Amino acid sequence: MLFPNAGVEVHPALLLLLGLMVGNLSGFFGVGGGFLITGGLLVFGVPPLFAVGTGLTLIMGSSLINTLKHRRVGNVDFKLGALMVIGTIPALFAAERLNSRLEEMGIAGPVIRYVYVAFLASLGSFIVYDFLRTRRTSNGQGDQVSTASLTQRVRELRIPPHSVGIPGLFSLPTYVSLPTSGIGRISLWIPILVGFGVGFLAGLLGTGGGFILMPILIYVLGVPTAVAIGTDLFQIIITGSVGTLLYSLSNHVDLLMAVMMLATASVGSQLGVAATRFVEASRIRVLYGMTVLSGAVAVGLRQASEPGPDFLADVASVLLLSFAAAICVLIAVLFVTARSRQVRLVAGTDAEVPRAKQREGR
Amino acid sequence: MYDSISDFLQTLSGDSPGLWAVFVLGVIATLSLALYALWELVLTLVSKLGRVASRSRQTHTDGGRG
Repeated sequence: MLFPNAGVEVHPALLLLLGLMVGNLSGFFGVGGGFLITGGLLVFGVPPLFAVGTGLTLIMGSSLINTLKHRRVGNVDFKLGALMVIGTIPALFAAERLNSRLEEMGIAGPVIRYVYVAFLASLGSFIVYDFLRTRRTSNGQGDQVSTASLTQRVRELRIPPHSVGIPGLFSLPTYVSLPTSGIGRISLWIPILVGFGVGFLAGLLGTGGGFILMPILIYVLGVPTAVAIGTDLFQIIITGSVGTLLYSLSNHVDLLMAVMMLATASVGSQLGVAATRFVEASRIRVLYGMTVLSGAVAVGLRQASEPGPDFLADVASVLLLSFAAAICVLIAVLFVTARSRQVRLVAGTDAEVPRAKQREGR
Repeated sequence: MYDSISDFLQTLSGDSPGLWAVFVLGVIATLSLALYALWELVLTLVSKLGRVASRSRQTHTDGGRG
């Protein structure tokens, strides 16, 4: 099938499959999945700028669907998300400035890719390490992470000014409570600074920033994993929309391709979001860590293909797609297993009630 | 059908980038909301049907015992 804007022929089944995987991973991990979409579209022969632009358009749509789904189960902290957006928007423009500077110096590509590989590798390794460490001490249950003391210290930080307003008229404290995230009191400068940092890195690396924000929310701010996923998706709607706007203005979005992928992404997200309700938080985190590590390998191979053989870039994307497909299957298996275990538990409890009543009667 | 859509998309994106950007954002946002609503409806219907089926099965079993 010929796609008019990108001017390429791609088999629709491939796009539908890619959309399904992106929707599933996005709903489950709370990330946009930019690295997967761009890699996949490049393998399908879509020109690089169209791959990025169309990918961002899909990210915007799928994160909107996933945020609405997570909102229904109470997983979105809109207050925290809105505070972070205040920092994210100026950071995106600051990163754009730095990117242009690096491009003028002719070092943008390699610098960005090295930073990307180093960042993904350390992030993925840390998440897997944290899983192994907490697994040993707490059997991996619930939302326990190894950075609890750091979280406590961050929450207790007091950053001036402690209030803002007009002298003599009114004064508002710069501390907020975020009950959805389980945070009693925190300086509002902290989420704004987090938003700025994430926005800057996202703008520099040309991504939605979800893969950075999700771990920061969990390991630095101590937000429960499910709420971190939902709030992260809310933030991605903003970055995805800005990206879509910019790439559409330069005519690098294939709308037909994005619409096709969005249709199946909505199917995948049903499974992804539902699975977060049944699968253990620590398992979600370790799968995420492994996906991030596979992303590091893929970006590293692409970097190696620059001076070396071209086929390494294709190998990188195929590896990433295969790994993502395997993770999707694993999510489905974990979901079915966890759900049937819960159903058995509920059935067991129901069976206990009449027996207890019988005992009481005796 | 495909040809007319293709022509429309190429003309709009080539001639007026501003309008094209608004169109892209509008189409994706509307489609996302529509797909979300559709799946919510489907899932609600499926769960309701499942509940009705299990209730009727239970009534059937209880009736058989009685």
